[in-house]
Amino acid sequence: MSSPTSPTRTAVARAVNAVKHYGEGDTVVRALDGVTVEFDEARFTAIMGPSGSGKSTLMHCVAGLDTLTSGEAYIGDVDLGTLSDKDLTILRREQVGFIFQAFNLIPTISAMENIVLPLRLGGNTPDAAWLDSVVDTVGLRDRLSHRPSELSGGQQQRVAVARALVSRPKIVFADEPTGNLDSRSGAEVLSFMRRSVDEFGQSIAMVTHDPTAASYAHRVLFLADGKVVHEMVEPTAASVLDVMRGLGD
Amino acid sequence: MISFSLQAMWANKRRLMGTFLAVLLGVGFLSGTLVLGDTLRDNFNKLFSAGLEGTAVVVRPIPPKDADGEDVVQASTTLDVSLVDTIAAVDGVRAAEAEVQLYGQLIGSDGETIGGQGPPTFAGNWINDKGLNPYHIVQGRPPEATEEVVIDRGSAKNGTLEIGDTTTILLPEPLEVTIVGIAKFGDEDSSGGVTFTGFSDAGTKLHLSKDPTKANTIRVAAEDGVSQTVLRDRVNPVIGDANEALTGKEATEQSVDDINRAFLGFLTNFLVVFAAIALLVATFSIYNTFSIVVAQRSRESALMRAIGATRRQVLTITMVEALAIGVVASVTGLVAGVGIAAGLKGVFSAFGLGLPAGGLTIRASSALIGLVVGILVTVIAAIVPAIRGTRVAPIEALRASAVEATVPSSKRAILGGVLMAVAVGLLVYAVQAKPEAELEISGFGAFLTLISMLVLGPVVARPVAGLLGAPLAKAGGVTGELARENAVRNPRRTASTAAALMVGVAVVVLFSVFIASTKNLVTQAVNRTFGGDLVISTGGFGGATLPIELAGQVAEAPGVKDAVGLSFGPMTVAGDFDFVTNADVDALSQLLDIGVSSGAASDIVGETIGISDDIAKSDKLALGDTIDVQFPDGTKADLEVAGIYDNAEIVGNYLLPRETYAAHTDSTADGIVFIALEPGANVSDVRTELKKLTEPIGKPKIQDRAEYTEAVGANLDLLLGLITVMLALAIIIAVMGIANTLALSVYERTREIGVLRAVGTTQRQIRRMVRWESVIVSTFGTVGGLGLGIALGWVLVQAAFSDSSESPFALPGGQLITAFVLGILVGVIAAARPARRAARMEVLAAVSS
Repeated sequence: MSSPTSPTRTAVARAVNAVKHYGEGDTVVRALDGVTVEFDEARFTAIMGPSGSGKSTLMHCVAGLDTLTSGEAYIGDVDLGTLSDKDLTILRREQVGFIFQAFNLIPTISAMENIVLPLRLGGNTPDAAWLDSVVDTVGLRDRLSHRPSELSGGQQQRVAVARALVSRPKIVFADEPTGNLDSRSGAEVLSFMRRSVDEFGQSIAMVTHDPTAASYAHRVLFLADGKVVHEMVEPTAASVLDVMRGLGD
Repeated sequence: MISFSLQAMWANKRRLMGTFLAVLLGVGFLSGTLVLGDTLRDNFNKLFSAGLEGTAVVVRPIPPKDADGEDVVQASTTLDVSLVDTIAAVDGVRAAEAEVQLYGQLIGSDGETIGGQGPPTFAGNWINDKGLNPYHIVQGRPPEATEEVVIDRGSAKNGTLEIGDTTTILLPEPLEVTIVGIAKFGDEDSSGGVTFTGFSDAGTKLHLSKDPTKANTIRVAAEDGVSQTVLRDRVNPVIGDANEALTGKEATEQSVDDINRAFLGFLTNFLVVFAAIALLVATFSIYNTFSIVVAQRSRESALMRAIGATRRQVLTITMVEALAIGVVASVTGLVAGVGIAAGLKGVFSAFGLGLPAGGLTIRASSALIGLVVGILVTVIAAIVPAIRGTRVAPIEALRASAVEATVPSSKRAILGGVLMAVAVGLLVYAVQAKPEAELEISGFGAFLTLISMLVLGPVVARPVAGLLGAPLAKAGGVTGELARENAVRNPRRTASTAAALMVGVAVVVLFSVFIASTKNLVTQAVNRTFGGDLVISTGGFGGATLPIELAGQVAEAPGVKDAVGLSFGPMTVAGDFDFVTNADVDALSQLLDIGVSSGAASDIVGETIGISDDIAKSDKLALGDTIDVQFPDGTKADLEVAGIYDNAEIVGNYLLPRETYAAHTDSTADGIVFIALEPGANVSDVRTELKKLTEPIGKPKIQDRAEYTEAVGANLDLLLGLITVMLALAIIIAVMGIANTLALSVYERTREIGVLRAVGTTQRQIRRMVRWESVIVSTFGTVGGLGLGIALGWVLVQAAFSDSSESPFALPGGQLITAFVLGILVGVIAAARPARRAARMEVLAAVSS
């Protein structure tokens, strides 16, 4: 599991002094309380933290699914706060990939159609060679004409990963991508994600609960109470677990 | 358990709104119809009571009975006026007066006729006894000279006529009269739109009655303290066997019954049919809503089952909900019905049907019918989905809920196919073999066709929607594909949503096709039989009101080669009451090719009758056989068949010699005058000439052949317009059904839409996706409706015009295209709200829900 060793890295997405409040007055919840982070190019970053630490909120805000109360979120050099819903949608379509915990796929269309969905929404035709290499890496060539309901949970998540990769986004956000999978299927999906970083230079940010999942990343950010409290490079499951214990999860 | 239901209902109130509105509208229309019926009956009752106010007893000739033993309604002056003195001498009679009431249409100051669009136009004697006369003079004085008249205030207003004005009354021969008095009918300006012109006794004898010794009825007033029944029983013995005495109350009831039979009953039945269609469409909407609600609640139901609820309890929850909606919506619908009744009255007035004024009458029985039907429809429509809901296994509670997707069973396809085959077989048999019970068999066949289409709907939904969606998928790329896939995802839901629209469209198309074919029939008939150039007709609801002399005068006009009048009048033929054509048959046959196949037109004179080939066949009649008839004056006769003709479209099934009919009726008039021009005559010159001739008689229409057939068509178009307005309700309910189903489907697919948004679908693309899905469903329904409507229209045309030599079946292309386009539009409209809601969904909320 070697990592590219370029000394200077550019950030493909970042948050600057990100603050997100839910509710008002006495009942206000500070989901993010001044977070500044960078997600580097061609790196697999895991975000960890106990429930309510703000890890999902951070991801949603940097991915343009939610808006910050104050502070800025960037994809590349674009300040997401300045975009209209339509521009944000197009940015998501072209520069961001998503992998959710479950229900990632549209049930009415085949696996292949799901993979190329973001491209076709924008009216683009997929690059055949790239599509081929993505499909090969996912290893589902014989299942591509099947509907999602005819695939196993692990296969569905692999299709979701392929969909996230196919438009060559600046960054892929994954929200507990293995949360609904057994450990073997989970390992398949995670090693596939790691391969896409190592081989294709894809950038990935993944929110997870699971120290084993986090061990596939290059770097782990630990959040608690809306703040970044720790950072770890080249994690292992055991080292991650130690930090997590310290955070009381 | 009940409170649990109500809580569930409250939580689902948005989703159940569609059901609520569908029931509300259906019940509203039904009860509105019934209230309208009650109201009109009541208003007529008041009107007739007012007409007989102060009249204790009415003496009239005993009316003839038709084959069903019902009185034949026909005004006739056959009562001996000398009876007045006999009756006046009866103990307890304060006054007795003869009443003559005949046709008479006033011409207003603008030269146009007054009234005649529905309520009758009467001319009669001005009854001198104030107690017996329902009219009372509010301005001027009673008529004295023979050309002086009193008119009702309504006519005076409509025709801007005043005391001292001279105008023309068509009896139908034009007569110059001077207005000396204006009268009110009770508190009203007129008797429910009836126009009345009262002559003095001398004027009546001179101008109105053919036989001055006869009258229609005798009105009798009682002395104080003598009851109506007592007086009736005293009068009855002195008036002879041919006449009868009725109390004022009885006479009123009779009149109400008569109008009920002649008009109100038909109107109410007509409206109830549309209410039934609206309710049928509502049933689909309710069924759909409950299917979806139950499906969405299946986890909840499974949980209930898992913690120990019985199936019955799960069923009860849904059914209590349905019952509650049914009750609330029906009660609200009842209230709306009162408003709808008022609105319907307005619609009918706008379409030229004059109806008496008066407040609304709400009978308990009508209210009850509306309530019971509304509640039953809701409960019955909900029961199938509710039972299906109870079949959920408790284990489902533990599984992730999946969006309901169904695959139609092959059992359904087989059943539907067999039903369809039987239905088509019946229809073809009915049309081809023409059995005795042709109408019944085709009716049953039509019903089976509808059922088979409903059964087959889910089976064909997938391929058809796929086909309809193909151009969308092509044009709209992935959004179009998603729309198509969504439309076929649940074929049963798609089919039953579309079915509501299908039924509405099918009925509209059926009527359009039938009316287009009827117009075509008229055109064919005119082209086939009428070789002349012009016709004069009163048109509209006027009936036969052209002076009998007109045809002769027209024939004399320069450029005219020949002109023949054709009349029709009420009489009983072979036991059936009908309006029968009479004319100078020989002259008529010169202008109108009636296609005499045996006997001769010139033989149809004196005590004879001509009959159509169809009647000859169906009644097994031949030349020389006799038919029993009864004339309006009560005279019975046996007429010999002297001619059998093929072309019955214009003259009808019976044709009487004019003089034979005229001898037994008070008023003779022509309904239409056929005109042939000299070769080379200038049509517009002749028209100008004829215009001058007809100016004094209320400007009847002068039309060439094209205009004549068009005018007949225009009346039918009016009818079609009225029917379409009635059906708009069913279409509205169908649109709401689509909107409701769509809204529920969108709700069901919240997460899916969230994912689509997250991966980059714009709001516009989401809106388009929902809209296109809706258009696919609505087009599916519209196409089914067009197919069903055209097929059943063809059957109806074949059955109704089986005697026509060539089939008049015609497709109203413009209307069908309009229906198709509207069907697509309906989809766009229905999608408006659900599409907006889908597009506005918060991405995060959607994906994390």
